Amino acid sequence: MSSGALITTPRGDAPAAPDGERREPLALLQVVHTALPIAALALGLAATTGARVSEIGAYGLIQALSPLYFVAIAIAVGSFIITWTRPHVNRLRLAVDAVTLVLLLQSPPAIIEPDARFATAWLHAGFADYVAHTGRVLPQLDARFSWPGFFAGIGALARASGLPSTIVLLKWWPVVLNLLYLPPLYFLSRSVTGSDRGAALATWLFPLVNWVGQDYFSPQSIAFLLYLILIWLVVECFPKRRARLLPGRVVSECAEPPSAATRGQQLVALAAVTTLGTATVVSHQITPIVAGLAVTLLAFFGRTRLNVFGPFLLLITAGWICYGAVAFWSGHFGLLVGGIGKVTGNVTLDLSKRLRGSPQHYRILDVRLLMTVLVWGCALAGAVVGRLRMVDVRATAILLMTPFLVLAGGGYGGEAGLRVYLFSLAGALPLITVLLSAASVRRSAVAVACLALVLVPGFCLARWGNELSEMTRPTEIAGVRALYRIAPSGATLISITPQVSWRFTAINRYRYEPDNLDEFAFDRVGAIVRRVQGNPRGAYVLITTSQLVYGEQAYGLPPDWGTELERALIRSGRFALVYSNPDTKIYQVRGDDGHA
Amino acid sequence: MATPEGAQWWLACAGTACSLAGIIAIVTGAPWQLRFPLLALGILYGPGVPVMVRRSGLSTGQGLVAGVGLSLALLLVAAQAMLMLHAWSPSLLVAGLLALAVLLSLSALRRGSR
Repeated sequence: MSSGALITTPRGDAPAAPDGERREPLALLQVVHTALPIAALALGLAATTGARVSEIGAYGLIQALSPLYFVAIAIAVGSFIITWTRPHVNRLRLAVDAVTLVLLLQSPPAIIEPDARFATAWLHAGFADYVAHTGRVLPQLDARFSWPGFFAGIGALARASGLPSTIVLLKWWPVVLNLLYLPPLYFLSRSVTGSDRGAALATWLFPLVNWVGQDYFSPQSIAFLLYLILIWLVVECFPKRRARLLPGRVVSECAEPPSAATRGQQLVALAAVTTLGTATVVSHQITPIVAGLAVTLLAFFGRTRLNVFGPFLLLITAGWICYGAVAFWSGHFGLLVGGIGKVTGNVTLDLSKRLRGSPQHYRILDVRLLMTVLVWGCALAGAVVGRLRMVDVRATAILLMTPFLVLAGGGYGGEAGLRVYLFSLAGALPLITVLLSAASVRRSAVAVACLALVLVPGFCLARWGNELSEMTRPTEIAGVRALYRIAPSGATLISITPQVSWRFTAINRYRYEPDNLDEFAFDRVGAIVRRVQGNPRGAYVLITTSQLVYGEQAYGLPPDWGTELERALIRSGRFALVYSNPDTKIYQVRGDDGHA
Repeated sequence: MATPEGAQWWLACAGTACSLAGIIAIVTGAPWQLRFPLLALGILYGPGVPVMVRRSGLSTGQGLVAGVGLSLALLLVAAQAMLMLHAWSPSLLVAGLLALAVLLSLSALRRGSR
């Protein structure tokens, strides 16, 4: 069962010349080439294990990585280019090179930092553990509980395994997920480009351009994996003969591949696609919408004969929102529909939340924007080159552009841009390979090397640039555990910024006041008192190093703003310090009579 | 060079062994350090891989990848259904999926041996 090659064969895929006209590498070179990934991994591991957390600075993890680490990356890049430019496509070897790159790029935080990074991952662990142990959800507590499929599935696996907590999974989760993304991305790229070599390049580039960091322990990490597999199966198992709409002349008569699939096999594939779609519906808000739109457009433009599946997926998504997520939208109806049609507002919301902060943070933002522009620019150039070369780029263009429709639906809490970029990679990467494969093999190799030269440091900055605030310090976890020991059930707990790794246990034991730095930065004591007063169980304010660094980085607050805040709290006479360690302070709110 | 049928046979054997080991680990209450890797591999193999490898018309490699996705999706959907039905039993759910994987794999092995 195959979609057939709907594009002209890139020059890099030219059949191998007859024996005698090309000389195979010498045995020694072969051995060296074989050893390159091993050398890269060994060197990278050695360089990473030697890094110190204390060296992470305002530009993030890149400051802690030694030059040897980048030598390891360079070896891995060289290994791939050699493999990729060989006359014969060696899929196993290309896979080894891609895996090597993922391990090198994704493992440094897990190796260098003692605890799992990123506060939201800890929150999701708390959600999953709650579901695991109680078999219930708390939709009134958080919107994510209205799409509990991920928490239920992982919670079930964790409980059946006897895991003490899903916190165990946090550290290496991004590495595992990025490895799992590779195979479906390869097959999807091969389906839409018809080229093994192009698919290998697209797959290899993915780790370098995946800087958005949505692969932490989260529903969207699994949902993206299911999305890739779903779209691939739609294109691979249900190809369409002829385009319905194609501007200009039809560049290639899409000869319907002689499908060897029986009706039973097609039913199995349809059942699989339906199950994948259903899993995304119950697990994540955006993914089924992007998937449904993509399949609908693929059918409309003649790349699949599943004409009804896309609208069906959108229909069950709407059904879930109406009936399964009623607890969410009944209290957040404005949030759900308020952004529909307001593309400018949604884009502004997304950018305004992100385009502010310290000078270093601005530079990191610049790097992220440049990476995004580079990827999309190369993809658009690939689409143009493809059209000029009579290449069928419909599917890739659809996969690239469909996620942008999400911007018309809402700002998604200011994160729509990140999700658009991530989903667009499924179409962007194959288009980039069309661009890079347009020239001779030698020039393509040089182009890939130059691109990697830009992407490697760009990835390190874009992905790990906020590490000072995004990493979790063991002393902060100790402080949070102390808070849970000190605070009685039902007490109000408040953090002044989002960057705190808490709620990984007892998620419904306390009242968590939502953080709002915009308010606290300018009216600190009063704002905090207004948030926490009136609870007979008491109230506690948690201040951690990550929060203070976040205030500096994301809001451009002065480095001593945390000290000033604490002085203000103490001067007010309303707060008493009840716990302290190098990275955590806990203040208890006194009553009006001055007692706790 | 291994034939596709040979690769499918080995895959089915490995999946059956892993799934059986996972079921045994659940029943015996093995330490989580042993139980979790077995169950994680077993769930990734799940009912999805034998179905997609043998019955979808895809190649072995493609069937494996699609099957992993299907198995994950089945875990999420089945767990969600349990939540909604207020019939939460994680061990039963996971063991059930692994048992289904064993049955489908054995069926594939039997068909392949004919």
